[in-house]
Amino acid sequence: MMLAFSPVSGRIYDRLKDARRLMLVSGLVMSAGVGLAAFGGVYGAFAATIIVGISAGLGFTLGFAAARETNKSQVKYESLAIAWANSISLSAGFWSPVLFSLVVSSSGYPPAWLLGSLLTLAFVLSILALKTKARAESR
Amino acid sequence: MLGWRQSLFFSGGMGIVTSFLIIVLIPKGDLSGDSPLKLKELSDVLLNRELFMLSLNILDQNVGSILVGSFIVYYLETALGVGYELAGVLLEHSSC
Repeated sequence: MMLAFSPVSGRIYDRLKDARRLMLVSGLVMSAGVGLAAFGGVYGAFAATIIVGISAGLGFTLGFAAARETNKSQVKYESLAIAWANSISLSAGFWSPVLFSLVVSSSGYPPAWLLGSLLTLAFVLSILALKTKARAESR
Repeated sequence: MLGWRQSLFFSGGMGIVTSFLIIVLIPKGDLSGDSPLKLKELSDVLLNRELFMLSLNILDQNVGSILVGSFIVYYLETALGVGYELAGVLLEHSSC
C-alpha cells in the first residue's frame, strides 16, 4: 500500500494549493488504523496493516514535500530542511516501541494499540498549528 | 523455507546491493563554488517553527508505521495464533 500510494500522493500534492487538510486526514487515518489493530482479531490486524500502509504512503510524501518547500526562499537548504524534519521525526519516534512494549507487558495488546492510536492522534494535531498552507507561499 | 539467520543475511545483502546501486546509478552533484553553509541561514532552517510542526506531523506517521511494522507480525503470531508465513504476507500488504 505504501509503495502504491506514495507516487499517487505526490501527484495529489502537486495539484493542491493547501495540503494541510489532506495531511490532517492522512494522520487521522493513521491513528484509526493503529487503533483498529486492537479490535477484530486477525481481520482487524489485516485491515490495520493496509490502512497504516496507505496512510504512511500519503503522509510521508506530503510531509517531506511540504518540508522541502518550507524554505523556498533558500533553495540550497531544501535538502537540509528535509533531513532536519526526518531527524526530528526519527529521534522522537524511537521511544514508541518501548512504551508499547511496557503497556503490552502490563495490560496486553489491545490497550497498547489504543495507546499507539492516541499517540499518533496527538502528533496529528500539530498540523493545526501550521500557519502556512504547507505549500510554497509563492505559488 | 529459510531460517532466521539466512533471512537476516538475505535482507542485509539486499541493503548492500541497494547501496551499491545508489552509488553507481545516481549522478554526482556539482560541489564547486563557495561553501554552501552560512551560519545564519543554517539556524534559520534548523529553528524554523513551521518545519518543526511539520516534523511532528511526520512523527505521527513514524509512530504508527514503527508500531505496526515492529509488532504486528509478533502480535499475529503470539496473540492471534497466525503462522509465520501468513503474518509476513499480511505485513507485506502494508509496504507494497
